[in-house]
Amino acid sequence: MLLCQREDEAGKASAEPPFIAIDLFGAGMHQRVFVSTDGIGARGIVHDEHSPVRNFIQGAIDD
Amino acid sequence: MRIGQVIGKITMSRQDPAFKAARWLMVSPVEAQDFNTCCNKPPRLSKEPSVVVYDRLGAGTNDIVGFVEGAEATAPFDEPTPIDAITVALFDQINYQPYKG
Repeated sequence: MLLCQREDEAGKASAEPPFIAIDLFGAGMHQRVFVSTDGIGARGIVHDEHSPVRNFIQGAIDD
Repeated sequence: MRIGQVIGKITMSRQDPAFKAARWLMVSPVEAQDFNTCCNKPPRLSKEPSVVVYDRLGAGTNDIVGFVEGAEATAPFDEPTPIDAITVALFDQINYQPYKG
């Protein structure tokens, strides 16, 4: 599980509180990532229809 | 999922039959500046409202928990269950290094 913080339009850390997402491919510290908040997709990824997971890291952004 | 500290337990005299042997906890969301220390030292009480959370993990007072809110909170149940928050993790350690750039 990784702690993620949103960034604003300028790429700065957003004032919104950080949230937790699961990570299946190994994102590094301070790497920019895409996070999906689709619970149905997340349950598919963990192959468990009873998992309460929602946020998952979809991919890393090429900087 | 958000991070919270258990600050109390709640017992019911009556409740919906769907809950069966439910345990309910009062959870105060942990603020970001307390993430790194909250597992060792109880964090200050959050300004954010506390949440009543369904618990199947056996979390106790002062434990640091991950709790899920919204539709996903009902995912672990076979039957439709009227809850909107559930504990899903007990945390041993949180490493929070906010990006300053």
